[in-house]
This record gives sequence, C-alpha cells and structure tokens, in this order.
Amino acid sequence: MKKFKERLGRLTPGKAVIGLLFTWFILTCIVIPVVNLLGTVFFADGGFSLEPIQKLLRSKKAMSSLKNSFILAPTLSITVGFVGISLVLITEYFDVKGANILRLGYMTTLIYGGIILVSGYKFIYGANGFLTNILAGIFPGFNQNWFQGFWAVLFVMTFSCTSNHMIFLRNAMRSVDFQTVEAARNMGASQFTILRRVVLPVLLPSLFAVTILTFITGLSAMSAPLLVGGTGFQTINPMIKTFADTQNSKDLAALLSLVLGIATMILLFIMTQIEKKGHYMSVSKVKTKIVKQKITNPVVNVLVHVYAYVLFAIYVLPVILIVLFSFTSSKNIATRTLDFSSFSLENYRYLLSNTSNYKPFVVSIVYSALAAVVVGAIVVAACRIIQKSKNSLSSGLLEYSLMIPWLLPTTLIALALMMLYNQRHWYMFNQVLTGTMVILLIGYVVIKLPFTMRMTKAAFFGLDNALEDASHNLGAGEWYTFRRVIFPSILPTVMAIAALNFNGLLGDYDMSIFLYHPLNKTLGVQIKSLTDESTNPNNTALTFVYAVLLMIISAIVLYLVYGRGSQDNTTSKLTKG
Amino acid sequence: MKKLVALLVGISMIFCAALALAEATGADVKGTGETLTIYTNSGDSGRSDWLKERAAQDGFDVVILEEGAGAVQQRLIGEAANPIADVVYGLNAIIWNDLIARDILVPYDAPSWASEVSEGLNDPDGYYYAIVKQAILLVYDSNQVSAEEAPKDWTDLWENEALHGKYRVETSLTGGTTRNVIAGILCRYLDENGELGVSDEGWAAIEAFFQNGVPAESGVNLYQEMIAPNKPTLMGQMWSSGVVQYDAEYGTTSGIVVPEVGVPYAVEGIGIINGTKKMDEALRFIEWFGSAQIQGEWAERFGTMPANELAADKADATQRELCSIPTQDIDWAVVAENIDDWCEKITLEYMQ
Amino acid sequence: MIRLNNIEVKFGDFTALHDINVHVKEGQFYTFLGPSGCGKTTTLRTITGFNAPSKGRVIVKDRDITDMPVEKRNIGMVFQNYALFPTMSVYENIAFGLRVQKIEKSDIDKRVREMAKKVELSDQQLMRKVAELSGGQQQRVAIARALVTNPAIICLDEPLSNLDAKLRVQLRNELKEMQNNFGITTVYVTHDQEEALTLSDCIAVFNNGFIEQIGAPNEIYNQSKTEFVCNFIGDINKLMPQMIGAIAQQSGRALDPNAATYIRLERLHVNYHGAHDVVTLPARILAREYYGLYIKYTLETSGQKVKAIEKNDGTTYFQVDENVTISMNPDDLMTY
Repeated sequence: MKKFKERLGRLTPGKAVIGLLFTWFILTCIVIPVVNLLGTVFFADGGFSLEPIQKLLRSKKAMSSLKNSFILAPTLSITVGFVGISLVLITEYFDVKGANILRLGYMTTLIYGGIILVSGYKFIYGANGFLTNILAGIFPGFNQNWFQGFWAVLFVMTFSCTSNHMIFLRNAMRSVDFQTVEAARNMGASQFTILRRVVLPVLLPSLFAVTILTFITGLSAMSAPLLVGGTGFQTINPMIKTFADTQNSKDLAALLSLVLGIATMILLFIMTQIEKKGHYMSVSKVKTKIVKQKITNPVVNVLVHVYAYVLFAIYVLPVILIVLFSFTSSKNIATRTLDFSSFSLENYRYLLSNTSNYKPFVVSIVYSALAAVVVGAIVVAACRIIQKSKNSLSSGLLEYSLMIPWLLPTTLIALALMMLYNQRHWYMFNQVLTGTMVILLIGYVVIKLPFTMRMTKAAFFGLDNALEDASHNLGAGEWYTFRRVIFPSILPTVMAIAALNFNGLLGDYDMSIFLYHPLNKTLGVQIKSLTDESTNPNNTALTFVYAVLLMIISAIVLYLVYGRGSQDNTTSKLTKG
Repeated sequence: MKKLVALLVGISMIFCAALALAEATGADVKGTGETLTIYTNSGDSGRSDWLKERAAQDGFDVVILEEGAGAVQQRLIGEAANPIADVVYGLNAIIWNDLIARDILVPYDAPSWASEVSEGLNDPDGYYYAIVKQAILLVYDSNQVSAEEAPKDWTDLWENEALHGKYRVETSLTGGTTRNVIAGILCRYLDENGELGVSDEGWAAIEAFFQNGVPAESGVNLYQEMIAPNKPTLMGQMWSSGVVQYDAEYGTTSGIVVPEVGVPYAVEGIGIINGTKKMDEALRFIEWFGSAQIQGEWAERFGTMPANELAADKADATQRELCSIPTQDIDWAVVAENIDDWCEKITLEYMQ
Repeated sequence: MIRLNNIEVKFGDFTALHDINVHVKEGQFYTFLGPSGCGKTTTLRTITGFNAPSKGRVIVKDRDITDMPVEKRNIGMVFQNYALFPTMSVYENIAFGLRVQKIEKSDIDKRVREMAKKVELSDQQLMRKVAELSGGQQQRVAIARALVTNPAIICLDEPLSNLDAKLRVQLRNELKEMQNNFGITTVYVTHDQEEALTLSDCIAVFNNGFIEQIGAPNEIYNQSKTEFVCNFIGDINKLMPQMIGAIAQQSGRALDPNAATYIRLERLHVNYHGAHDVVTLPARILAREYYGLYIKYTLETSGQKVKAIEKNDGTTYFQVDENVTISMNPDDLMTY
C-alpha cells in the first residue's frame, strides 16, 4: 500500500496521460477486438463447445500438419541460424574476396518473399527447373519431382529466412570490440576458438532475438509448404488461412492459431528469461573497428570462398529468374522455357498503361509509410516505459499485450477490427471505423506491433545506461534526454525496422482486403485482382511484373535507410592519443 | 461534423429524389448523380473502370469496390450493422443464399428486365435477380485426351480408374468455382439423416474424388498444370468464360465434359443491401444495369454470358454454346446452409 | 560544501550503504576508496542523485538536495566509461549541458572552445565523432563536458580504470593539475590506493557499505584505523606470534602475540638502524626485486617471511642467501 502511494506520488501528469493513452490503445485496438472475435467464434451458438477441438483431433491432416509445423520451426531455427551466422561472418568478419557483392546478394531476401520467392526457387530446383534438368541430363531417370517435401521446404526456408540476420546480426557483429579479438589471439587462441569464445558470445543477444523470429516464421510457414511441400509435408498455416476465410470455420482457424500463438508466447517468455540473465556489453572504452580476418588455413580459406559463392548463387539466381520471366508470358513460366526471342515489355505496358494501376502504388506507399512510422513511435514509447520501470507488473503487461497480435493470423485480426468497429462504441468516441480510411491504418499498425516490439526492445537493452545518467547529470530532463541522447542511439535500428515494416506492408493483401476503403485500393488488392486467374489468364506473368516493381520499391527504401547509415562505415582510422 | 452534414444532405436528397422519380422504370432510366457504393467480385480486367464510365454517361455516380467473392461476402457480413455498400452484384447462388439467410439483403420489386432472364436464375423471393451466368465445367486438354478417354461426368473421375491421378483437385476450398463443383457433386447425395445432410455414399464419393486427384499446385493454374511436361494433370474444373481465354493464352483446345445431369451454373446476380439509405437510386441503377442494352454491351466487352435472353446474342458463339449445357438441379438453399461445414469436413478429413 | 548525513541506500532487500557520513570541504579533492562492491560508487551516485537514499540527507552548500532531481543539481560527473554520446561530435558532447540551459549559441560556442583549450583538445578534434578519439582524449572530453557548465562540484567515477598503466599515471597528473587550476571541489571514486594517495586531500575508505576510516592520505597510511584499511592501503607485512614475541622481548613492550599485527615494508630496515629503531633481528635474504628507484627484499626472520624496501643508493646491494639483520621501531607496528 505504501509502495502504491509512493508510486502514485511519483506519477506526473505527463506520465498519467501516456499511461492512459497506452491503456486505451491496447484495449481498443488489440484486446477488445480480439476478445470480441474469439467470443463470437467460440460461443457462436450461445455456449462454448468442445466440438472444434474434437474435430481437429479427429482430423489426421490437421494433426499431421500441426506436427509438421512443430518439426519445421525448431529445425529451421538451427539451419537458418547456421546459414545466417555464416552470412554475417562472410560479409563482416572473414576476409572473403568480393564481400561487397556477396553482401548485396545475401540481402536479396529483404526485397521479396512469399509465393514469389518460392516460385523463384522452383524455377531452379522444381520439375523442369534449371538444376533439375541438368541433373536429369547427367542421371537418366532422375526424378523430376525430387524437390518436394520436408527437405525442399527446409531448403527454401533456410535461405529465405535470413533477412533478420542480415540486418540485426550484422549490426551486432559491427559492434564487436576488435580489441577482444586481438587479445584472444595474443593469448594464443585459434581462429575457431576466437570465433566461438569471443565473437559469438557478443552476438548472442541478437542471435536470440532473430532465432525467435525464425521460430515463429517456421511455425507459421505458408508459401514454401504450399509450393514445395507436396502432399507429404503440409503445415498448419495454409489450413488456418482456409478456415479463416470461411465464415463457419473461423472457430477452427482461431483454435489452431491459438495453439501456434501459445507456443510462440511460451518460447518468447523462456527467451526473455534467458535474456535477462546474460547481458553481454562491451566494457571497453576505446573500441576498435573490426579488421577482416584472413583465414590462415589455405584449405579452409578455399572452402570458405567456395561456400560463400555457392550461397551467393543460391540467393541470387531466383531473383534473376523472376526478373527475366517477368518479360515473358504465363506459358513460358508454366513450361519453364526462357526463350529470349519471346521477351517483350507487354506485361509492363499492360500494367503501367492503365492509369488506375498507379494509384494503388501511391495508396500503399502512404499507408505503409504511415503505419511504419506510427508503429515505430508506439513501440519506441512502449520500450522506453518498459526500460524505465524494469520488473514492474505494468511494464510486463504492456510488453505482452503488444505481442498479442502474434496469437492470431492477419485475417482474423482484420475481421476482429471490422466486426467490432462497424458499430459505435463509447471507447472509440462513438465513431464507426469500418469503411473509413483509419481502420486499415490501425490494422497495419496492429499486425506490425509484435515484430517491431521484439527488435526495438533489443536495441534499447543494448544501450549503455550511463549515457542517460550522463545526460541527466548535465541538466537534461526526461524528454530532452530521450530526444537528444536515447533516440539518436537507437535510430539506426528503428529505421531498419521501419524499412522492413514498410516493405512488408507494401504488398499486404490479407489485411487490406477486408479493411481498405473503396476509393483507395491498396497495392496488394490490386495485384490480386489483376492477377486473379479467374479473369486474367496471363496472371502468373503479371504477378512477376508486380513482384519486380515491388522489389524495386523495397530496394530503394532499403537504400535510403542503409545508404544514409553507411557513412559510418567510412569512419577514419582511430587516432591514438 | 462534415460527415454529419453530408449525411443530412444525402437523406434530404433521397426524399426529394424519391418524390420526384418514384415512377422511373425501363432500360433508358437515368441516374440522379447520387453516389452509390457497389461491391462486386466481378470488377476486374477493366470491368469496374468500364462500368464507372458507362454509368456516368447515364447519370450514375458509382464507387466500386472489387474483391474476391468470399471477401465480398465476409465484408458484407462484417459491415452488417452499419452497411457501407448500397448494391452488390456478381457472387454466386451459394453466397447469395448465405447473405439472404443473414438478413444482409433486402428483397425488392422485380426490375422490368427480370422477366427477360432465363427461367430459374432469379431468386424466387426477389432478393436478387440474375445478370450473368457462368457454367462450371469439367474440362480436359483435348490434345492429350481423346473424347473417348475423357470422362462423361464428374463421377467418372473416381469411378473410372484410368482417370485416377489425372485430374486436378483444389487444395483450398474457399473459391466460388470450387464450391460450385463440390455442391454439384454432393447435392446428388442429399440425405436428411446423413452427416451434414449428405449420405454416407456421398461422403465416400467426395473422399474418392479428393483421394484420386492431383492436389493443385499453389500459384499455378489448371492450364499451366495441363501443359507442364512433368505434370500428370490433364483435366479439372473451369468456368465457362475462362475456357476461351485460357485456350488462347496456352494454345490448348479444351474438351468439355457434358454430364447428363447438367452442370452447376454460377449465377451472378444483383441485390440491394439491407439498410441502404439510397434505395431509390439503387433501384434505378439495377434497372439500368440489368437491362438488355447494358448487359449486351457488357457481354460484348468482357466475353460473359448474359442471363438476359434478349442480350444473349451479344455473347460470342463458344460462350453461348458452353452456356447451353443444361442446368444441374441444385437446391441452393441447402447448399448455402451447409457448404461451409462440407468444406470444413473435406479439408479436415478427405484432403491429401 | 557537501555533507552526507546518515545515508542509507537499499536495493531491494540489500542494503548497499549503512549510515554514511561524509563532509567534503570546498575546493577539496576527496576520494572514496575501496574494493569493488564496497559502496563507493553508490555513495557518489547518491550525491549526483542517481540513487535515492532510503534514510539520511544530502546537503550541498547548506541546501538539502536529497529529493532534488538529477538534472537540477548541477554537479558535474565523469563516468567510468565516460558515457560520451556516440551519436554526437566531440563539440556537441561538450555543448550538451549548455544547450540544455538554452544558452545563446554564440555564447555556447565561446564556452565550448574555451573549455576545449583548457583540456587541450584541438579544433579538429572537436569536430570528430567520439569513437574516433583515444582513451586519453575521451577522458578529456568527458571532463570538459562535465566542467563546461561551471558546476560547483565534480564527481569522477573511476575515470582511470581500464587504461594502460603509463597513460594512467599521465592522466592522473593531468587530472590533479586540472583540479588545481579550476579549484573545483572534487569527489573521486577509485579502487586504486596509489591513485587515492597521490591525488587526494582527504580519503574515505569504504568496505561492505560502511566507511572504515576518513582522513588525509598520510593519516590513512600511517595510522590505519582498522585492519581492513591497513591491509588495503599499500603493501604490508603481517607478523606471526613468534616474531611478535621476539620484538616484545627485545623492546620490553607488552605485545599480544595473538593480536593482528602489521608493519609496513619501508619501516623494516635491512642491515641498518633507523634513529628510533630499538629492535634488531637476524634475517636471511630469500629473494630480491630490483625496481630501480628502490629494491624490494623478501627475507626470512623468526620463522616467517617478511618484505622490506631499501632505497637504491647505488652501493648497498644484498645477495640472495646473505645473512643480514632487520631493524625496526615498535611504534611503527599497527595492532588490531
């Protein structure tokens, strides 16, 4: 009681307002819609029944899909971790020839994903794919459908899920204090030992964070199992999507996604506990920038170079093929024939000649940018609150409620918002939101909260507390300190996350389809309708054209974020005093 | 505040308009310029642009939202308490009946062209009237399958072992065409005492259908699968207006299966949303849009088959031929009531 | 200038400081000395306001500032790792405190450059990012940043730790010189007794959240009040009962052979009698370390090892195994 009074005493009007705002936002934009939706789906007939559970338990397909998801997630965490770490080592730690080119290749996953990416892989490894044809030429009777099932899914996802590694793990690698490496060498440690005992521990917090994301990606795998899983390896998310799209099966969708969501939350909780134990901060006053390590063993050196360039090929070939095929017809795509004589700009002309095709680009860019900024602002504020009040109940509540959107698939969140706000509620100032421009923005913000939260928090915890103390000590108040000291320090991470969010939302379909305003069609919806196979036989080729255009926008955004940040890389050499 | 003003103005305009133009009927009806919000699943390939422009010529101001049929349905359900749309067109009988059951549509007096529509396509209770019909067909690549080898009905697919592993089955059952196919199969086995209104025989049939088919490859359409050299797929479901387009794109010649029982028709209709504040303008728009004149132009432009028989000659020959296949007798109300549960059961228990 | 009255600080259930009383006079260089975890930094952070005491008052210039927020105190601070803002240039780091006070731009520029000159940072260095500076330069930036707002007090938290030995001595001297020049009241935290002894006007020795002794360096060194202090400050010999007995016998004093008894290294004289030495014991050289300025011998006497330091006069130089004597004045013994 006394503590409560003390806390109340410290509560300034500003803090009270912020607290109220957060409570309002979390309740109205996350908790109430979700609870309302779950209530509707589970208590549809007036009472809760165990029927959906029984239905799922009876279904062999549902059970095996669920099992597959839980096999894929941990396996993927390991394989992606391995590839991700090696990408970072190749580009940032070891002296590998052509690292700049390699880096660009490894970063291609940042500009495309989903169905398009998997299609790209199928061009190479699938039936009649380039590699498949070569293999079939060498080994007569080679099974054209060799690239199918668990290993194919694992392969595709292993290489396509390294985006976060290329951003967050790479940042962490850059902050490794090179003196520690030198010190270890000085003590006679081998290169491998240094890597294992000195460098990797520093990367550990970031590795934790990206591994969680990988795990979640694995659990909710969609495109890869659909396209290369075959009948042997289907995961649960396509089923969730199907059920979520069906009016009467939403209870199944909600139930299945809750299973995934709870698994995610448990994992997050465990990881957060582990994270609390270990803080690996550089204690050095004078950090030295990393100097690329030459691999001393010549055999290993050659092997590493070969490995690096094989990875490069794996990453870059799908992109090249997608770009090339975007100039051909759907027939070429179906038969995997790259006939240069049939190249034409027809697809591009078709898309760009229609003036109503421009507008969705503008709409989506505006929405995505707004959402990226809003979600960034909300999460930064939330992280600041959590950072300031460590271990308190309210900060835990705040953190986990912002993670709630991870519990449900996008479709259900869209429906939850739509269903709640098609009526007036006092807590939304008696405004109907459904059918307005605002609701899509809310939807975009909500689905990007968990990812943004996870990554931004990591950035906050990487901050040196002394910086804040120093600022206060110099007379700066709370807000000034945040604005001038804290925010600039985390800005690079915040920008990177914003860029990823922007790119992710640009082509969004699942949320937009339910919430977009009739006058402002978004890009994802436009792509879907233009490429809908029921009306446009050339749909596959058009999908590729859109993919290329999206890649270009995403690449520009990344360049703007990283192009600016890269000034730091040219930092002059350390001057010894 | 602005919204409120707009609303008041709108309402007063409706009253004035209602008084002034209550009697308007006939194909040459003109709009008042009051903005109508229209939802449809049939607005792509330039349809909505064309409609917007063409409607404007006759005094209608329309805002069109186009989405897949399922999404339109979900959106309408989601917005039920506060509808945004005034008119909806397209969709199919299953969804129409679902919307009726949910009280989302309002019945309205038959437009003057309703009597020109082929028999049995309009809703008997007046919730929607048909504008376009689409035959849901079983097609095969006649370059690879001879007419003798080809199935004679959907049932052949699983009953004739020679066809096993040669036809495509969908892996996601949310699409309108897919649901029509399922309805077309299961409605042959309706049994009030059976599970979900279908006899055991029916479930065995649908299981056999899914077990012996080739699951669709995601992101790849039927024709792409049929021409792919390493794919066993040679046949599958297709809607009638797609046949011509796909044959042109992929250089195939589609063979059409004509079952004795007929084929399901996806009837695209037009209806009015329960709760619209622009009833009169909506009625005028429907009167205009369904008329033989406009539907004829629509058919010429987009290769559809008009439900309005007076406009039928505007459709191309193949289309007319395809849509002359007899209509399968399907109880759409029963289908609409059960299709979600059917699809759920199939997804959970029978799909590979 | 600064008075800490009966300060107690708790972290959860752990009491980090017990009843701390300190009085720092104006212009003094005051050092909190102790091993890590002894509470010295906590005390410093209580002065600057980062820790709120659960009991006691912090008085500065006769004003109770216990509940004053950090940013209002105007007490300069140099952090252990300097806490320079990595996103800003050196110039901006120094100007930070002035900008907070919304001082006019031209004035800020003048004061930043003046301060930079005082701590010997060049105009070029001012424009650099802090990460590009060496440790010594970073320290000067940190000090400049702390002093530019003309605080009445400056607190330094182990600013010389984890720097190399030579740089440490050099910076130590610079620091002392600066403090002399600015004449500013300084509170300094260190675990290094040599730093404490060389720099301070007054030292408070901390242990386990208590202050063991407060006094001038000379006092602390020669009249260590507690066994902990005498052990912590400088190298020292602990005497065993046999040796204490021998000393008692020769000097005729009543010494308790079982008491903890110590003597500093330089108070043992090898083969030489100091003016007040009354005890002389036979000893043998076990080892010697040559330091240039002095020589450190390890000897065996009365069945125990002792160490002694002799000035290097260039002529006296004992060999290992050589038999010698050690002499001492029993007044130099410290007994607890």
